[in-house]
Amino acid sequence: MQTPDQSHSGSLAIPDRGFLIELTNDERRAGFVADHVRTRLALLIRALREQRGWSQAQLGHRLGKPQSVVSRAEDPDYKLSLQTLFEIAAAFQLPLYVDMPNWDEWFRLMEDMSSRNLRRRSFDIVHLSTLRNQATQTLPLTPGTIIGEAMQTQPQLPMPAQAPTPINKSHNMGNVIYDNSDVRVLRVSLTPYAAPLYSWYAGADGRMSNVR
Amino acid sequence: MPAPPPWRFRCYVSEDGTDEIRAWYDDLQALEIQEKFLSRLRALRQLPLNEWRCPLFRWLRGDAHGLGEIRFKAARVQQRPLGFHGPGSDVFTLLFPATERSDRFVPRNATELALRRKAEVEKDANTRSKPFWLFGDS
Repeated sequence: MQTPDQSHSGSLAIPDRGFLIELTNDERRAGFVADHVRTRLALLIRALREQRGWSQAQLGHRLGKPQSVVSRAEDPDYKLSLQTLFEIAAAFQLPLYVDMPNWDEWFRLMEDMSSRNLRRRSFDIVHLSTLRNQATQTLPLTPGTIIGEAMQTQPQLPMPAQAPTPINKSHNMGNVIYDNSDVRVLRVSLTPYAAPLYSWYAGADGRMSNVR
Repeated sequence: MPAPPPWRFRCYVSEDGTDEIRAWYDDLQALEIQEKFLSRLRALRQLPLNEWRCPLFRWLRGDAHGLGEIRFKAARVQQRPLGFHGPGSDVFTLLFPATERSDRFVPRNATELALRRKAEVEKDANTRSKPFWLFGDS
């Protein structure tokens, strides 16, 4: 069966052949994966807690659970439930992501468990909005690239750091465009820099419009 | 900032040339011990020295000063492979596969044996230790 590869380039995160041979045993491989994931989760929870300067008791308080629950969560030998993981992620204001990736990707993800690599930023609408704004300015532009999905107009959404761009300035490619009447652009389809820009936007009345 | 350099693991070799850690690993009946041993070594391998701490690892004190234990529970037993930092700044040498029961090492003289092995490795690292056989380290 053909499966999509993450990458065709080599990766030093993939273990040496001798190690891979050890993993040809199904049971050993499954046990290794389980312990490695639990180890990473335990170190992740501790790293996130320490990043925020919280004690185990303080995290427990946010979870509405005793400190012993946090202590167990930071122990790789303890089998943490998915529900508890959701609760811990919520306490850190972080999303949870569960996947069954290709092996090369898994080895890469598991490679560095240092606290420096496990720091995360809690939900921050200003930061996310800024990232989105930056992304629309730096995306490699190919015809038909859609850089955003529709989202509802949110009056509390902060404006970008730079001055709002009038929506009819179509040469200002790639920006999340704000017009002067607080209309949010919902979807923008881009053509290469030299070509005309087409913007789709929605007005406050919900109608989709198109400008060139 | 680049990632910290990975640690290299080495294993104690007895006088007759036996890699004692590999012999222990190969003789293990419980796959769970092998699984966790490999998992914890790979995790520790990328951690900076200041993050070699509980729950994965602990430096020993007192008479066993200079030794460290890799900590995990497998096959209902607290596994405590002992080793030391060296020879070389990026090397951890595995010396003795101890276990722990009721806060005591099994065998009781595990740290003495490990310290004796440590001295042998420090005296002649080339013949009394060899790279961990599964990581491709040299």
